[in-house]
Amino acid sequence: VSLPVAPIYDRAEVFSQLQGDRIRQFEERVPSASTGAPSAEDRVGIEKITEEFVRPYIEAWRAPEKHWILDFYTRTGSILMPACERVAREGVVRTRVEIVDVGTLRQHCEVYAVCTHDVFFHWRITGFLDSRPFEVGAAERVTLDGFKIADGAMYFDRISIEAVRDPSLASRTIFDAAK
Amino acid sequence: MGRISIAAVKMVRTTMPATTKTNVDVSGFLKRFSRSGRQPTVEGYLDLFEPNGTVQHPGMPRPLSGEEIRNFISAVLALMPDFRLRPVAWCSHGDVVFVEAITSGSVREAHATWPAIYCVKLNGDRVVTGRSYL
Repeated sequence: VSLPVAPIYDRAEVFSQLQGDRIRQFEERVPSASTGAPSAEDRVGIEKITEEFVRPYIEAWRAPEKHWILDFYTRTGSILMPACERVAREGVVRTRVEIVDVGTLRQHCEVYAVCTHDVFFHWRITGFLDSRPFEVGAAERVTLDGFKIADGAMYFDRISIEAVRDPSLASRTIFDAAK
Repeated sequence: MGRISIAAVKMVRTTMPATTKTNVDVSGFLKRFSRSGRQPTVEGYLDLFEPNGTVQHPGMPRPLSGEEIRNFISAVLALMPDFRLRPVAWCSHGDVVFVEAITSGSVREAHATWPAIYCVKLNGDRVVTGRSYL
């Protein structure tokens, strides 16, 4: 197996999602972050996002089907994933599913957190690669337009998945605390 | 509503109604995490954790704890003395906080910048379990 090492961490395009106001708002926000609970208006918005988007989205990824996932994106919605160019909504399921043996990918939500426009998920991804089972963690941030995904980024350790297919990769990438 | 106002609204602290009330200081953690990322030191990094706290980064088959965390961050900073981490977005749910960050550093002549998400479970403002994804 020849691993395309260079593209795996080529996440440059994510920066366009992270630059600009986000850094300033983080710096402004942190000093006052503990001052009080979310406003009633925020709370209602968050509960609506949870009901209208988060719960169905988590359910849909348990056994992903293209037509179902497609519906969670805006018409121009897309997401960034390791080792991929920006993935338009039509390609989201295919791009994740084709990493593993056909029909075996499952995503289980460990925990999520909702802001008024962003939702973060911590996923556990399971499946089979060349008939061998694997399990890896992943994190995803999606930015919503209404209750649909306009933009986002998926983060997971693709090398760990590839190492299921080629165990020699693991020895080159795993930090051994004993050494 | 101006642009900055919209940005401020976006980053609300989130507490879900179904979550059990916990002893969590998200703000305190974010301040310490930001400081640690701005001026990383071994002691500053270790100070983010509970005494029994753990952390697992990509490529680690299991979480590290205790002296292993010290060995890990010592190795990282020795290899990459200019390592920096700058949080850009966060969101919490009960005792769990997600932080999306821009990280950077150089190994010999090669400088790299990469995004990451940290998913941490807190007790107070200290990390009980930490997991990062690049």
